[in-house]
Amino acid sequence: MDVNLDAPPTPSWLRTVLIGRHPRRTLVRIVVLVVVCVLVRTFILLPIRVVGISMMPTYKDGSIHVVNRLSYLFHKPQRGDVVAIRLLAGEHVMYLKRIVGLPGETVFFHRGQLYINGQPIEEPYVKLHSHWEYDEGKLGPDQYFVVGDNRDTWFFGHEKGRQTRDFIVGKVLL
Amino acid sequence: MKEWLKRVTFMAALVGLGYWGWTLVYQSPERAIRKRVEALAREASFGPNQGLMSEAWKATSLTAFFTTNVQVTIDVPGGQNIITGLDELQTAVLYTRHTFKSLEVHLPDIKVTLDPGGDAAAVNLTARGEVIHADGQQEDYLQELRLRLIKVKRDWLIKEIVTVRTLS
Repeated sequence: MDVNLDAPPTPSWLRTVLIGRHPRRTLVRIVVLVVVCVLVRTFILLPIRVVGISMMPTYKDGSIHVVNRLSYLFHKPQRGDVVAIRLLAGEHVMYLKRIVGLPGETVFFHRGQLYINGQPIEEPYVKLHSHWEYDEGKLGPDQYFVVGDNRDTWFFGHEKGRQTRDFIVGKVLL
Repeated sequence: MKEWLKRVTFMAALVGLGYWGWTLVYQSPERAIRKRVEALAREASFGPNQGLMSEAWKATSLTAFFTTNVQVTIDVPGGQNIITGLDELQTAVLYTRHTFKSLEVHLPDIKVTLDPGGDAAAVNLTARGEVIHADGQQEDYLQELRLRLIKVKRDWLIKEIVTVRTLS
């Protein structure tokens, strides 16, 4: 039986599956993939996990979603958009709320019904209703009014209010 | 390995070690404040089944983080609760420890802004508290806080704590 010791060893099927036939190319691919993932994660898509019930039933407690940081690159936030709002200290914890009031508008709730500039606004996403009596007044030139979809909560326990555009991190995609 | 590569690697490791040692000995005020606030969060946390002595000692040790004239302003529905001075603060801490079975404080975000003079700082932080009530019910709290710290000798002490809200 002849054995050629000079011939390169044939890669085993396991090695081929794990690192491919060309390890250098595989390494380059892995590096490129990691860099792309880090860039996308840092600058474009931000994964979030919902904690709490203020956006029920649209977003359930514990569900995972993605925020698009580039949503408002070419246009301003719209009424009805669900957005992530960063807190004063940073972005590790954020609010997930729906924009209902746009800059310059007056916002108030009467018997749980949302009124913008005195006109009632239909909110098909609200399934859990309230009897809130609340007058937010007129929003500033760069202020948006945000609130959760679950209005069937204790009024003071439900985080809502106005904030400027620079606090809006992006729009929730999924 | 080539000789020059060995030398470069050795020099890089030496520089890295030197930098690490430098930051350890001469840490920036921002880092010192951050560590101080994180230590406070650890000290404020407590588990179930702590003895009376342990409770009292921890409540006393907490006061080391504050100035004697500390003021804590907490927004509550319809008004504000204001705690002034170390004695009132210690009473409030002991009350909290009796009210809850356990409390775990996490600080996911800490933003330090140093005053131009370097002897005072403002800290914005997000605090998350995991609470177990006396009846065993578990609850999570989220609170934004603004702290005012001043430098006393080499120590950073908290002079003021105010609850703040991103959505106003």
